[in-house]
This record gives sequence, C-alpha cells and structure tokens, in this order.
Amino acid sequence: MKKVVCAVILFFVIVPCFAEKIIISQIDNSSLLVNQNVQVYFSFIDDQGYPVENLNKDKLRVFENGVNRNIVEFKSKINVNQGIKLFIVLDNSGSMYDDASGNATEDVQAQRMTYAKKAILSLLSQIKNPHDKTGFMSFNTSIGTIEELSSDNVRVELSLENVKRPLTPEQSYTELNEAVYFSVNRVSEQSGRKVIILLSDGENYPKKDNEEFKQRHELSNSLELARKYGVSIYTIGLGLGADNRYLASISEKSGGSHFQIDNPEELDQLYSFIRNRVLNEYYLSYPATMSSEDQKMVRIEIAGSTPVVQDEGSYFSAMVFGKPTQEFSFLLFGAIVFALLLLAFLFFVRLKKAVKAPTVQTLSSAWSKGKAEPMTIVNDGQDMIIGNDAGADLTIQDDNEVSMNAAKISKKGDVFTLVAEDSSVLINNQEVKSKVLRSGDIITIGNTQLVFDKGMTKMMGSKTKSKRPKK
Amino acid sequence: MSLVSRIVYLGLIGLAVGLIAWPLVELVVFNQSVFPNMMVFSLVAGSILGMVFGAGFGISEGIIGQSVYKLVLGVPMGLLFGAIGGALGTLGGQAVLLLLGSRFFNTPNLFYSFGFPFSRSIGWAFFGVFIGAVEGIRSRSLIRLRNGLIGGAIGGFLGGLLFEYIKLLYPEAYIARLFGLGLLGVLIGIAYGLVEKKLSDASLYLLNGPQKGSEFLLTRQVTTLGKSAKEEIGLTMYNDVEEKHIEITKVKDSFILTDAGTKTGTFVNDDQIKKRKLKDGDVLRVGDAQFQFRRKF
Repeated sequence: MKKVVCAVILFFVIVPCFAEKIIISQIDNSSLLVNQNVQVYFSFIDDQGYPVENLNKDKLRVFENGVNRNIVEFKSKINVNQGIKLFIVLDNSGSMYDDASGNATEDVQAQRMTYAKKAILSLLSQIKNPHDKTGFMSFNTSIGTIEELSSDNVRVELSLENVKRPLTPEQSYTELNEAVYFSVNRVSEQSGRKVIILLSDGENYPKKDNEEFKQRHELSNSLELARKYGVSIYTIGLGLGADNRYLASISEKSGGSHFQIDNPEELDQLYSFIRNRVLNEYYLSYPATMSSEDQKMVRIEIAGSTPVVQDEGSYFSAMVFGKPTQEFSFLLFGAIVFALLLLAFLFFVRLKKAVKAPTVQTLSSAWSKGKAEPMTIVNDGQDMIIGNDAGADLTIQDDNEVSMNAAKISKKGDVFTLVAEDSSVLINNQEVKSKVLRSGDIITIGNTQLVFDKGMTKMMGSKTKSKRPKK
Repeated sequence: MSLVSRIVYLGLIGLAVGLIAWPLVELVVFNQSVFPNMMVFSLVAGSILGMVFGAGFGISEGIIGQSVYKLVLGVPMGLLFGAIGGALGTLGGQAVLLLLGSRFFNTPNLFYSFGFPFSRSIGWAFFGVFIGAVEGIRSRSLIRLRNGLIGGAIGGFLGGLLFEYIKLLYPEAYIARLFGLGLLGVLIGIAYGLVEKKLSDASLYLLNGPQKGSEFLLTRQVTTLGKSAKEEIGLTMYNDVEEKHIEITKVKDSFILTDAGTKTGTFVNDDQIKKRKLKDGDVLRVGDAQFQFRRKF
C-alpha cells in the first residue's frame, strides 16, 4: 500500500499541485550585434510538472521592457543532448539520523541518511551523458564538504562516504536557507543548465547567533537569484515526517519539482525525469528594441491564459557609450567652441624664454644631470675662464680630467673665441686649440658638455653674418 | 618644442578632441532609438567619433610645428582613417562589452563592482586601439602605429574605467561621457607622446636659435628636414636652410644623414659632408641651426 502511495506521489501528484508554468532558462544576447536578435530558451510545464511538447508558437507573446516583439524563430526540443550541471546538496543535520517517521534510531539501515546516500548513489549511477557534471556539498550548522562540479562522479561518491554524523548537538542544526543561498551562489556562475538537488528532512532549523552565518539571507531572495540565473532546485523530502511543504515551496519557486520518498529506489526515474524536464526546451528569437538600457527585461507569456502563465528574465544590453541623456541641449556644443579656442591657443602661443644675451650653458655632465642656469658672458675684452679651479668663472667640479683653467672664452664685439689650454677640450667633438664660436657649438670639457649661444638678437640680426669662416 | 612640452601639447590636443567629440556623441546617443539596429548605430556613432579623433590627432603635428600646411594635410586622411577605425573600434568594443558583460552578468557578486566597469573598459580600450592606430596609418609610420596602439589601449581602458566610476557620482550619463571622452583624448595624447618618447631610439636636439631646446624624434624610416613646413622637421625661422636640406634614413640600427645637394652645405662636427653615418653626440649644422644627434641605447 505504502509503495503505491509513493509511486503516485512521485509520478502524478508532485507536491504541491502544479499549475502550468513557463520557465525561462537562458536569454542569449550573443547575436544581438550581428542581427539584432535575442534568443530565449524556455520550458513549458503542464500542471502535472511534465514538459509540454507541442506548444504552438501563436500562443506565445514576447515582451521586452513591456514592448511586444515579433517572434522571428521558434523551435522545440532543442539541445536534447546537452550536458546538465547537477549540484547535490545533502542535509547532514542531527535529524537525518532518525528513521523515516522521525523517531530516533540506532539502526543505521533505518536512518534517513542511509536512504539519502543510497538515493544519491542511485542517481549517480543513472548519469550516462558524458557532458554532465556533478558536484556535491553537505551542511548542518555549517557548510561541510564541498566537491566542485566535475565530470568525475567518483569524486562525489568519495565525498559522500566522508559525510559523518555530527558529533555534538552544536553541530547538528539545519541551516537549510543558508545552504540554499550558498549552493545557488556557487553554481550561478556556471554556464548551461544548472540543477541543484537538495536532499533534506525539511525543517530550516538555524542556530541562533551562528558564527558561520553572521549575515543571514532571505530564502525568497535566494530563490529569486536562482530563477535569475537559471538554477532549478529539485528537492527530495526524506521520510513521511519530513517538512515536505517547505521543501516543495523551495522547488516550486525555483522552477524545479519536489519528491517525497521513504525508499531510495523510488528515485530510479529521477535523473531521466530531470533530464527530460530540463532539456525538453523551446527556443525562440525576436528582434531587440533599440532603447538603451544596461539590462533589458524579457517576458514570455501564454496568450489568453488566466491566471497569466508567464516568466521573466533579463539580459545584458549595455551600449559602449552608455545611456542617452533625458533631454538633449544644443548648449552642449559650447564644448566644441571651447575646444577650438584651445586648439587655436595651442597653435599660436608658445611659452618660452627667448635667449637674448650670449651664454654658456651646461648640456649634460657627470656632476649635474639637470641643466644649470645659463652663464652670461658680458664684458668685452674680459676672458671667461672655464676649469675645475674654484676661482674660475665657470667651475667644473669633481672632474679630475679637467685642469684648473681648461679653456677661456674671450669676447671682442660680436666675435667670441675659445682658446683651449689642454687637450681634453673638444668643440663639436673635435680637438681644437682655438676657434671662433658659433651659436650652438658644443664645448666638451672632461665629462661636461657646454652649449655656447650668442643669443637670438645677434644671431638672427643680419644676413651678412651668414658667411661663416670655415675651419 | 621639448619632449615634455610635446607630451603636454598632445595631451591638451587630446582634451580638445574629446571635447569636440562629446556633443556629437551625445547627439547620436540621444537619437539611438531612431537607428534600425545596434550594428548600424555602432557604425555611425563610431565613425563620427573616429573622424573627430582622427582629424584631431591628424592636425597635432601641424599645431605643434605651427604649420598651416601640416595642419591641413592631416585632416582628410585623419577623417578617412578615423571613420574606418572608429566604426571598427566601436563595433568591436560593443562586441567585447556584450561578451564580457554577459559573462559577468551571471556573477551577481562581481557584476557592478568589477565586471561591468571592467567590461566597459576593455570595450573602450578596443575602441582606443583603433583610434590610436589612425595616426600611425595616416602618417605611414610603423613606430607611430605601434605607439598609437599602446597609447590608445591604455587611454581607452582608463577612459572607460573613469566613465563607469564617474557614473556612480553623477548618474546622468552625459557627465560621465564628458569626463570619459575628455580623459580618453588626454590619455591617448599623453600615452602617444610618452610611448613615442620611450620607443623612439634617436632624436635631434636643437642647440640654438628661436626653437632652441626643441627635440625632434626620428620615428620614421626617412625623416626630412628643411626650411619648408612641408618637411618633417620644418626650420622656418633659421637662415641658410634650404627648402629640403637633409634627410636622415634609418638603416637597420644606424641613421644615415644625406645632404640633399644644398649650396650652403651640411656639416657634422664642423666637417662638410654629403653622406654620413651618425653617432651619438654628433653635432649637425644646417644653415644657422645646430643640432645634437642623440641616440638611445
């Protein structure tokens, strides 16, 4: 008798009673830029929780940000061979070690945990699709073992073996809501179809002031998140004493289903049920609106249904230059005027110190990286002595290669003549004894380079000066 | 103009370019819903923006060299390559933004703090790369192309990042776009100048006269110098410089100076030459002007 009841529960009366439902599992914007189309993947579930296979395109309405769009493409039964990501979440609280009716027992075989483990192993054994991935975590007062999603089912089996009964009452609480948040958050970043299978005896029984979860998450928010990121939660209530109502509401709000079992074999069909349900999807595409939003809401509904059978999702649609302003003002063009003035200023104005007087200035040297202030040669007939002597007119310090009075520059009217006192003096990289200096000549003394400049007024003064004595 | 002033000037020109681009972009973005689809919109918005940037940086040599000839010369090619680069860059940037953004869209924890700004920045960097390349292609200089690519990428990335973070302060996007485009221009300009300075391996430093202290980077395969503003280095304010006086050719790692058959001659270290391989520290005389040849190793 009991078996019959369970079979009925599993295959016909999935708790609580379903209404018809549309579940958007993915909104793909990848061809938006190419042909302006948005692609939507969704499933349509009948009031028994089974996928409807012959949905008519004409019964569908698509809205983007409330604006009705034309469906340009419609397909059913797509991606039947695609992989699913199954994340198994196992309640490891104290009550999981009671028997099916909720009475304490030391008979391991009668404990809910034993059922749960057998159920999971049975589920794993049904997985045949090489693209599927499985992951696992357990929880009680805290999150226990975590096995990340991988295609290696053996890892989940090993983790399962390592799930041990909590030793203290402190460790035996059921942080169900936090476990839902944690697992949803964990798998939300994965691509493709994501399913969480939650096995529990059903009560959210949090520990007060739990150090593990200082920040509490509302279950409704977690489920909203699950819907947004296409994570369906399938809940499995272990034993008749389980809080099936609570678990059923979790699964329903996330687009999954609830099963109540008190015999692990009852889950024989679970995997194929989920596969059929998850992958028996429809596909449609429609042209996106041109309004600029960072994200756009997409709503699909069945025309004329009461209450409205619909589902909503969103996709990323930000434009590289962002959203438009509320109102456009031609005053903004003032920026162009300002910019043109700036360009004109840059074209015409040069800020520089005009060199008027004749100078000698260091270019680069061992003792000074920066340029010293130019040294002015003023007096006619008075020599300018350059050397490492502190008494020289231009002293080159800390350079042993430079003699006390290495060179002198004498001025007669417009003519400046350099006379070298030692062979380390070069003008324009050439060794010289004496030379009439020209504006721009480089005088090298030891490691120091000096630039001689007659100054602008003299140099640019007359064309007749342009015939220069050749060396 | 010294290298530092050159960078400042390029930055300011970039700012002006960004300011010119801003109202035009506002106008196009405001009328987004008029466009049939995202592709056409991206191409139009991108080519307009690209033309402003292309022409703006196209006139930069003219502004810095105070040469109307170069100013005018830079415009048509700047417009043409800018339109192409801007359209491709915006389309690519939009694709990158959608691709990355959609990935981060599914990571609720990261999306607004990091994912969205990062995606936008990469999108803008993509745009910046194309805009930066315009000047290199326009002037047919590989080094400038490389400089533009690097400068554009950095400028675009930071401009896009600023755009996102300004938006947190001023939710109205036009303020964010003003700052974002302005910074994009400034950074492309500065980065262009900086990278140009870092990557060029030789220069001529002017030792005397009205433009004393200017440093001219030898970034082209062939750099010409003469009195004419049409030459790469135009010495309009010096005596005895002929229309086209010398050219410096880069052959592998060396720079060869050739006199263009002038009457007044060309001197290296006070020796008159027709052709000479230059070495670091050589003093060049062309008419009244004396340069120091600087080689970076």
